[in-house]
Amino acid sequence: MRNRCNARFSESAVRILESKETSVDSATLAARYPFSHWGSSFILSSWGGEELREELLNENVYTKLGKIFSRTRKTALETIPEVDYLYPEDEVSAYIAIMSFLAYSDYPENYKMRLGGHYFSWITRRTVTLLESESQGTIREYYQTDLGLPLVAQGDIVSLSLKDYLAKASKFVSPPKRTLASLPLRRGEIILSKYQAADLAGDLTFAYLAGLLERKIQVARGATNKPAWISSVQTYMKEFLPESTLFDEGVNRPNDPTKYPPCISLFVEQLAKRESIPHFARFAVASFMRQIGVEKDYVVKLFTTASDFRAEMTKYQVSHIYGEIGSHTSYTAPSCDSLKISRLCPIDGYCNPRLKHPVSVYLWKWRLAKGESRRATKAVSSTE
Amino acid sequence: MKEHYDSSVGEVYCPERIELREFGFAFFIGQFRRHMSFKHGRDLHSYIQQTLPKDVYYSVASYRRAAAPMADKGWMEAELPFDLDAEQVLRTDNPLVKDGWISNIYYDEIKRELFKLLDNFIEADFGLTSRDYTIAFSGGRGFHVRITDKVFKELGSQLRRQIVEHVALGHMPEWAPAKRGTIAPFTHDYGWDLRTFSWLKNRVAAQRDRSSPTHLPQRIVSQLATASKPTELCVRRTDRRVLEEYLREAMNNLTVAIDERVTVDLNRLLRAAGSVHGGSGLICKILSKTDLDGFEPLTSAVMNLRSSKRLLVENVPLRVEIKGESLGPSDKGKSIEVNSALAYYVVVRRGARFDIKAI
Ligand code: SF4
Repeated sequence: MRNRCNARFSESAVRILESKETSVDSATLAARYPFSHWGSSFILSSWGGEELREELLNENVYTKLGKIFSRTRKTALETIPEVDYLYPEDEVSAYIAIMSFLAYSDYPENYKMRLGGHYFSWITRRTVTLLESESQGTIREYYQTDLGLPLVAQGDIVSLSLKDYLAKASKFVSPPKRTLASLPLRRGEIILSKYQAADLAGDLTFAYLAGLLERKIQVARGATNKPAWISSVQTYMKEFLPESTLFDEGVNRPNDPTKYPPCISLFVEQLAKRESIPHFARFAVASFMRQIGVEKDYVVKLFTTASDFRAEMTKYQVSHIYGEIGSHTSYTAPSCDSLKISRLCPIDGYCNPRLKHPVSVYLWKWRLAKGESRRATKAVSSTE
Repeated sequence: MKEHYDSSVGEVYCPERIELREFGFAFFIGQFRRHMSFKHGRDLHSYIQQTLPKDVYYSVASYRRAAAPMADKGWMEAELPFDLDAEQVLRTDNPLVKDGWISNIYYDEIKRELFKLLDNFIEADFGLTSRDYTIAFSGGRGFHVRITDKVFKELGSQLRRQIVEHVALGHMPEWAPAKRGTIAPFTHDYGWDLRTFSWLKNRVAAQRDRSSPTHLPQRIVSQLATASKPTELCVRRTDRRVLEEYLREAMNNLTVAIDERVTVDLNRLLRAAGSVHGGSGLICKILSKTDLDGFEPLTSAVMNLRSSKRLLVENVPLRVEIKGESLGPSDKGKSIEVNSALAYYVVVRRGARFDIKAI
């Protein structure tokens, strides 16, 4: 994901052709960015409120939902999703329908977040492409109003305060994928061309939408009455999201210790032998287990054999990593590079130089064993 | 310790809102006490005078209830710490460094890395000024920097990890297609791209002086000589591999090998400035950036002791001079009386032992 984003950022940076900047009306902007303040204003002016009514879910909207989720099963997301300028209300309805469907459906919550992730990468890709051809004023309005980040224009380029960016990024469920090291930093400012600003906006939009979905899921958790139209959307979506995809998406996936990467196997083995392992290795184990879908209690049990085991402290720390307490941020496992600089990777080189993350390595091995993934097989031949 | 703290306990630094910090103490009998808090600096100082701890630490974090067990503390924010430890920063396996025998030459090298951290990252990239951070000699094998700016204090572990990667791993250029079938290593003119580009230019200039030859093709050398900013550099696709070798060298030279675990840990206890490092006998001393140049730990961070001790010298592998007296390899086997600060320094490293007969 990161590589893909970075590559995209680079392409933007060297783009030579300037796009045509035209002034656009707010209905068009609502169709392009249905999740933005333009989308909200459109809802207010057209429907008088945010409530999505069943009659707005026409065939066109249903087709959109189907398209979005049928694409998620294939990994091919190459084509930029088109915007329906004729019916901006359908774009907005589809967005609201998807978010509500994700929040209220009966699927497990981590599956909802994963589905959301697919949808958000689809929509943010579109957002980046569209923002690249907007005027600098529109981009600044989007940053200011939707992302809460003021951009300062300096001729053709804009600057964003690093502190504003960090303050915003630390509020997201997970920080933007673009790393700090890749940002054009100058004395506390991020200096961006229009294309780079559009690209960074995509990253921030993804993080913003993921946070929004998480909040909606929390609200839906305690809600007694769902919107009336949810069940019909859910029935329709069954065709695109059969049971088997749950498994593919990491829900109910078995915990198979034989497929752990060497680092995790080693830490688990050391714990079992009552050897003391560094704090960061413990963090890696717990966050790795969380990401592959292992129950929290299983993880706490893993630590019971540790020489310095203290039940309360371990439960507290694992719950923290699982995002149940503290900042309610669930932690992701450290990358291979992070483990390497902490001298915790037990091998020279990488298990798979294309993946560089213990969770990806686990899934790769697991898929490989199932003989399931073409990509996995390709990756093997490239490392052998 | 008693002699030092009797006269100098007031130098132990009390952080702002001291009641929100967790304190921890290691004692000479091997015990460690943590989850302690103090309402006032004077309470901390009298506790130190009464218990004479070997080491004093306080949390980078502020908590609602600093003395409560971890689960109930109520984390509020945490300074962003950087630990530059000799062994890691200098990427050395030297057993003397491991055991804490660090000469001034090594300290100077660590200081150079510290300046890199401050100038290139904390100031040039993050835009912070000396008001936003504190520097301290750790009392042992390096230096600590704590960023005290509000926004940085509120960062979670994931963004802190990104900061570690920024400083310790660097960023290899992203390469993008450019004009007429060439490729451009750099995609912008700031941050890591600018730093790496400037390094390459200097490297090439050094080649022209013949002080440090490279095997970069002449066409890249002349491009680097004329390019005024990173994005002006475009090379042939076939040149990518050779240039990447130098880019890796640039990363090695430009990154600072800070201890990742310290920076990402939101609940870390760090040695209290002004306290004595029990493992070295040197003081963990707050410094300003301008102090750094002239700072020599064995002169400026020694305990305030007037007494002296007689030692039986066993093995002091390098000449150590404190307060005008010195011990070194040639003193092996001798019984020598030296000032207590020097005595503590060598005894604690097992370079000598107290001469019992003399006592
Ligand atoms: S390469 Fe990555 S996954 Fe493999 S052992 Fe090392 S850290 Fe673990």
